[in-house]
Amino acid sequence: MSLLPFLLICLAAGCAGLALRRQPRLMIAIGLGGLLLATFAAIVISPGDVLRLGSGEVLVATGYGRLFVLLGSGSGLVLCLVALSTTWQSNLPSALLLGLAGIGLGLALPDPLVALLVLLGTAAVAALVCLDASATAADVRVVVRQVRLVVLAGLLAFVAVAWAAPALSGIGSDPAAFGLADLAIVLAVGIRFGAIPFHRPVGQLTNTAPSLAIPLLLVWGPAALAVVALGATDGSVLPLLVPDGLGQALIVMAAMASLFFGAVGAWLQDDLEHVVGYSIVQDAGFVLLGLAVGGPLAHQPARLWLLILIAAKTAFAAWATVVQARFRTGRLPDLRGWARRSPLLAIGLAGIALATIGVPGLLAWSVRTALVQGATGGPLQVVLVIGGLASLAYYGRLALIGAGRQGVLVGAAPTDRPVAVARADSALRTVRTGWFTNRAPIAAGLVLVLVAVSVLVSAGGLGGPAAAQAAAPEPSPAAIGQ
Amino acid sequence: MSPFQLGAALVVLAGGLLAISARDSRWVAAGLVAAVGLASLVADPLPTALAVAIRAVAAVLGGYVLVLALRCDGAAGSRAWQAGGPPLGPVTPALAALAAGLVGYMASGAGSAAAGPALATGAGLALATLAIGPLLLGRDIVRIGTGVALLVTAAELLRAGLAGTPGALEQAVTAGLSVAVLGTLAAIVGLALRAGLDLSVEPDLPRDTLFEAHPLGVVTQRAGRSLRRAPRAARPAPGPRRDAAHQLTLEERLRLAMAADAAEDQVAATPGEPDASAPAAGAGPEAPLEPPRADPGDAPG
Repeated sequence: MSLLPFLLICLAAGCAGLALRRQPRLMIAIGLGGLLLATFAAIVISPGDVLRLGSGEVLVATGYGRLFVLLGSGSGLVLCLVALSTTWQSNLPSALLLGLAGIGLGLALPDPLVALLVLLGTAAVAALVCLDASATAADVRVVVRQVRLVVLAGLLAFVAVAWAAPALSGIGSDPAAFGLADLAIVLAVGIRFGAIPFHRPVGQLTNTAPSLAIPLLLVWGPAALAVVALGATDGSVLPLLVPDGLGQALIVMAAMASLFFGAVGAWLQDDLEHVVGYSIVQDAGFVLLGLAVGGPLAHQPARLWLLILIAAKTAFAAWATVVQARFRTGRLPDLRGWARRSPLLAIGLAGIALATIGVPGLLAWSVRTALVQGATGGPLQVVLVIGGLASLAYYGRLALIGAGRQGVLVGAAPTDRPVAVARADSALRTVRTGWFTNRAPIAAGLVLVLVAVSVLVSAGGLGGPAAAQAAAPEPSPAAIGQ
Repeated sequence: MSPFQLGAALVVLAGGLLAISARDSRWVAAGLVAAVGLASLVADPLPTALAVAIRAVAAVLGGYVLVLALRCDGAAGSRAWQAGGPPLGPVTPALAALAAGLVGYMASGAGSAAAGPALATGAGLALATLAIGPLLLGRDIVRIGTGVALLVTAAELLRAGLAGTPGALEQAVTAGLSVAVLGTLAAIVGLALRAGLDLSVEPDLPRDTLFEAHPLGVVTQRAGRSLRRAPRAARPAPGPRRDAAHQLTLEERLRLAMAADAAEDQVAATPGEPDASAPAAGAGPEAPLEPPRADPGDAPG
C-alpha cells in the first residue's frame, strides 16, 4: 500500500519533532527531513491502491488525495525553509507533519464519517501550533476558541452526514430532512473557512498564530473538510432540497457576502496577516458556491478550486511573512516602497494575484466562472463575478503601497542582491554563513518557488483536472428522490 | 429498549452531569471518563467487546492526561483544581437534558430512516444539551474542555442513533479522537500553567488589539434617546500595547519604546533628583525596534 509510507513518515517525524522540541537543531533536522521524505513518499503514492483494515474497511489512495498531500508536504517543506530564513517557529514542522498525516488519512478513508473524525482530531491538535512557552493569556484564549470552533464545525458535519446517510444509501427519507442535513454540512465548511458571518475567529487567529501556520490552520484543514463534505454529498444528483430552494439561496447569499465583505475586509486592514486572513475568507466564497449545488459533476470545479486555494494562499502567507521579516514591520503604512526595494517580492505578489484570480484561458479563471454559473443564473452571476474580482482591490492596494517612495524601515532593509561570503574552513560552515548572510534573497526566492507552484496549479498543471475528475464517483442510482 | 442500554444511557448522562457540575477537577475527570467511556454501550446491536474496551481505555487515558496536566500547577486545592460550577446549579441542566432526551427519543431520525435505537438519539441530544452550556459559556479551560469532550460523545451517540452502530474502525477512531481532544486540552492546560497563567479564558482587558474590520466602542445616538456607549467588553484597549507591536505604526512604536526607556531611567534615578541622562520621550530615532514575533530562544544556530 503506497499511502502507508507517507503516513508513517509524517507521524513518526511529527511525533519525534514534538518530543525533541527542547533540542532545536535536532528538531529542525527531523522536521525538514521528515517533510522532504514525505514529499517523496507523496510522489510515489499510487492512485487506486487499497489497504484492508480489519473487517473489510479500507484505505483507498486517490489521485486527488495524492495531489493534495503532495502540495501540502512540498509547500510545507518550503514554508519551513522560509521560517529558517525569517522567524523560526518551533512547533511548525511537527504541526505540518501531523496535520498532513491526518489529512492524508482522512482523504483516503472511503467512509466520510470516519474521515470527518480523523480530520476533527487532527485540526484540534494542529491548533496547538499557536502555543509555546511564551504563550500569553490572549494566545491561550484564542487557541481554546479555535479548538472549540473546530470541534463544533466538525461535529456539525459529522452528525449531518450521519443524518443524510440513510437517504444517500437509498433507504429513503424526507427530502426536506436531507436538504437540511446538506445545509448543515455546508454550514460546517463555512464555519471552518471563516466565511462571513463566521469570520471573527479568523482575525483573532491571525493575531495569535505564527504567520507560516496560517495555511495549515485556515486553508489546508478546512479544505480537507470541504473535500470530505463534497465526497459525502456527491451521491445527491438534485440541488439542495430545502423547500423552495431556500437552502441554495442561503448558501449563495453567504458566498456573496464572503466574496464582497472579505475583499473589503482585506482592503481595509493595515496588518499584513489580517490581509491574508481576509483574503482566505473571500476565496472561501467560491468553496461555498461549489457546495451550493449537488452531484459529482457540479463538484468538480469546487475540487479544482480547493487545490488552487491551497497553493495560492500558502504562497500568500509565505510572502506576507517574508515581507514582515525583511522590513521589520507588518503595518502597511510603514511598508511604502517595498516593491522598489524588493522586485522579487513584487513579482511574487503579481504571481499570487494571477494564480488566485487568473485570466481568461487560465484554469483558475474558468473554475471561478464555472462555480458562479453552476450556483446561480441571470444577473446574480455578474454580481458574483464582480465579487470575485474584488480581490483586485487589496492586491492593488499592496502594489500601490509598494510602488511609493521608500519609508524609513523599507529603506533600511536589505535588498534582493546576494552578498558573496568568504570561504570558511569547512564547506558546511561556508554554506551556513552564506545562508545567514543572504537570508533576504533566499527567502524571496523561496516565496517565488511557492508562487511558481501556485501558478502551475492554477494553470491546470500537476494533473489537477484529471485528479478532480477521477475523485468524483459515478452518480448513485439510489440517489434520493428516485 | 433493553434495560441494559437504558442503564448505560443513564450512567452516561449521570457522568456528563457530574462533569459539568463538579467543582473539583478530579470529579470532573471522573464524570468525563464515565460519560465518554461507556457511551459505546448505547447502541443496537452492541459493538464488539474489543471496541467497548478500546473506547473505555481511551476515556481513562484522556481523563488521566487531563488530571496530570492539572497537577503540574502544584498541590490539590490550587486555582487550577477548582473549576467554577454551572451558574444555575446542576438541577437546571439536568431538567433541560431530560427534556431534550425525551424530544430526541420521540423524534428519532427526524425525517430520516433511523438505523439505530431511539434511545441513542435521545441520550445524544440530552448529553449535547448538558455540554452546550459549559462549551459556550464556560469561563475556564477545564470547563470548556469538558463541554468539548461531552459534545464529541454526544455526536457519537447521535450518529449511533441515526446511522446505526459504528464499525470497528470508527470505534477505534472515536477512541483516538477522545484521546486527541482531551490530550489537546491537557496540553493547553499544561502550557498555560507553565507560562504562569491561570485557567481562566475571561479577558482581563476590554480588548487586546484593535481589529480594524470592527469599529467598536463607538458612542452612538439614536433618535430621541440619550447617548449610548457600546458595552464595556467591546471597547478597544485605551492605548497601544507593546505586545501588539506588529500592528503599530513606526511613529507609535518609536514613541512606545522611548516612553518605556524614559520610565525605566526615571525609576533608576535617585528620587527627587532629575536624571540628566534620561532621554526625552519621543526623541532618539536610534531606539531599538523589536521585530514582530521574533523568538530568539528558538532561533536556529
